[in-house]
Amino acid sequence: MVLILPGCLGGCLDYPAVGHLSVSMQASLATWQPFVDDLGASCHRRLVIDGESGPLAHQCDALDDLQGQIATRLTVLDGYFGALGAVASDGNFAVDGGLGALGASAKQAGANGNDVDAVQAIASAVAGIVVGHIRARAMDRLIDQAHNAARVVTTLQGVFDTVYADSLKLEANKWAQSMQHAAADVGIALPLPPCAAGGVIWTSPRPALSNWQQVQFEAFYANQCAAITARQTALQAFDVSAGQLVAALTDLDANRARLKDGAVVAHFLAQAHTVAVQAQAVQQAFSTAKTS
Amino acid sequence: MPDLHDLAQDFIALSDMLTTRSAQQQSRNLPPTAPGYAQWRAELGTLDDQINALEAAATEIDAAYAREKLAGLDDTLAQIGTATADAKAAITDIADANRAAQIIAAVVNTATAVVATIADPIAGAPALTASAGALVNAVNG
Repeated sequence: MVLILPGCLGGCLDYPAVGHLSVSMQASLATWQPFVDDLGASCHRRLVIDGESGPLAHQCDALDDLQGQIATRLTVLDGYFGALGAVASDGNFAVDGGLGALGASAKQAGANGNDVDAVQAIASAVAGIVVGHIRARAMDRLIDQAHNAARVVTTLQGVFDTVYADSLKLEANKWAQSMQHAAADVGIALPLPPCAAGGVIWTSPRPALSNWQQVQFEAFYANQCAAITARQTALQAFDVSAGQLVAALTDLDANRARLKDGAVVAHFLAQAHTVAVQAQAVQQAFSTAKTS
Repeated sequence: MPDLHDLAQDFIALSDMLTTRSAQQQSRNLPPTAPGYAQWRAELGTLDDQINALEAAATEIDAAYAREKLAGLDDTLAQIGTATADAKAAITDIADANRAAQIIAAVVNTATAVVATIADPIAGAPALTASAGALVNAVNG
């Protein structure tokens, strides 16, 4: 008799839901990279507008350095989400192949077939318990860190909400300042209206544009404002997404003892979907910002 | 006590104020021949310099604020990193042929001992105890 061993010896807890969640969390984290890159880039765009030289030309060095520091921390989080997914994957905890091969060799070597089958049946059950124990211990240790991961996400979110938001604000101001200078040159009445979502809202009385230069100026100013406000909008989408990531990690921690519970599994699957959808929204918002 | 970010916000607010003042000044749009033109230009230049300096300072302060926040995460990240490394090691253990063989051998020895003990409880018991101990060691690495 050839013993067919179960595909999952590792005490099949309902880790697939954790697996889905970890994939979505990794995808969500990947959408952070453009924000990391733009942290320094926003500052450099400001310098370009200004044609900055002298001591102030180095003001972006600190943000360039910060980008690297944030990227290092994101790598740790990415590794953590990846490990959650790896432990959730049944394939990483299968030793049935080894047991089967051992039994087959024993039979080929002339061992009593019935004895081999009996040993193999017990061995498969014991192996299931052993590997399941190793796997559960690894998953436990990882979930132990879920609240810490949530803390890291919250802190990084806070850094973007303050430092990146400020950088975009300074960039908007710099454009306004630079455009003020240029507006006078083409004869557009000052002060210019501030940048608003989607471009520029000219309040009454809107300047009468009397020549092509003024039309071009207005279009250029509106485009620049749209680009900056699109980034600010993308930052809002990022905020929602990061908040969802924290909620998912908090739930994982809170439901660690009920990972097999049907309602919890359904909740995690729904949450994985929400995290993924919001990550896509961030990606979309930022690509809109880049093409504005 | 206000934190570094509050300070950066104050600098940005001041820069906003001066930008508005600069816009007001520019709206005078004096021609080069107008009386007071040189002073007007100089004032605009000074305002620009002040705005630039405030923005640079705000940027530096914000970066320092962020560095402080990130430094506060170092211990937390170290714990996450250790748990991640342990989980990966557990997977590598299972995937590693030698380690897997070690666990399988311990499992099979235990199973063999179980079969022997069922056949002859008195003779088989010591072997079962020994193999179960070896299994525990194998599991705990």
